[in-house]
Amino acid sequence: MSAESLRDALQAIGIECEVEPHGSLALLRAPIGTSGLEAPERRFAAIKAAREHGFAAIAVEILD
Amino acid sequence: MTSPSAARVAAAADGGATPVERERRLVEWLRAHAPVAIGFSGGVDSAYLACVAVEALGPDRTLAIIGRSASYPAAQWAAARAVAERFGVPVLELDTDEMSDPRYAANPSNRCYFCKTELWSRLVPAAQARGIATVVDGTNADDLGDWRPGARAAAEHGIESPLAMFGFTKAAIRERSRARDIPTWAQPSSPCLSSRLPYGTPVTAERLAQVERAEAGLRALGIEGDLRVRHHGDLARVELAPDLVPAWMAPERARGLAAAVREAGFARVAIDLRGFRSGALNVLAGVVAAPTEEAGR
Repeated sequence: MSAESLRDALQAIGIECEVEPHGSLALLRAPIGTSGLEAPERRFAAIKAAREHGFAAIAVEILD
Repeated sequence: MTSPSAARVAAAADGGATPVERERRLVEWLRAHAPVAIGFSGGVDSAYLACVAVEALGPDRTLAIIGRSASYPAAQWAAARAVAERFGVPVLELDTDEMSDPRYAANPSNRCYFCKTELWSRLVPAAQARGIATVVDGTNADDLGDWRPGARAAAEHGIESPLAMFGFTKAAIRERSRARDIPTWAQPSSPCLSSRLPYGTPVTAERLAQVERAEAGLRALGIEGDLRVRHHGDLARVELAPDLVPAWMAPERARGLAAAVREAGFARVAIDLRGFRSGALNVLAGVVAAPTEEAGR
């Protein structure tokens, strides 16, 4: 389980964010509306990447 | 949260029976075991059971018992009272104090065992004092495969689970509730507030109140269906029904969501990308690999 490797994997699919680990929760940090995670295909890709990197859950923080 | 042995469930469940047939058998069983006291939370399962029981047995041989504590949401209590009043179900309310048990407050993965031990140790004597030997709960057939440490406490107190015994799934209970016009038929599952705290995070009245306020604030925004605010210290992780996630990630609505949760005392707010999952904290704790239902109440 590595936040850095998940961040890199997300970056590779076009999702720019920081990843903050909270145990087995991956918390994504990016300004609101910039991650494109509203789109189902990107969201599912992020969920899949989190799982592949050992995280049980993934959430995006709402940042102003 | 209960005890039916595999043999008894297998004997009674009959996978081919329709919900109507299951209900007929349930009524027969209730009549054979009356008077009956029901552990009553006002959730989908116990509301259905109480309504069937009062119709089958009458109010003199039916008693719904509510155990009230800090982990029992006020909105749930109000829903329970409303159902009971509408269907003429007699209600007894008792205070339970699981919070004062340090084994519960430490929030281990078998927390529900200590909660249910407290609940049944108060409900069963209260029923017996009124001449009621049979105490039942709303455990259904779907619950039997879940991680439910509360079931052991129920077994130790001789609690019966007729819905599970006769093979009622949650879907069947919703179907029969709808047919009976019981308003809980479409109500989301509603486990106790402690289920929002990761195992190992001490359960305190303050944390539970924080979660309750946040969820009430989100309901006030119009969010319906499954909803959980998971407590991760200063961070709240919001689980919405999966089909609602995209809409609430749009900037304007996300800001409103975050404001409502911050109002409840959380410094940081996040939206879970998968949306609501039953037993999601079990996944984080590694208790189960693929939960299908919320463990707990």
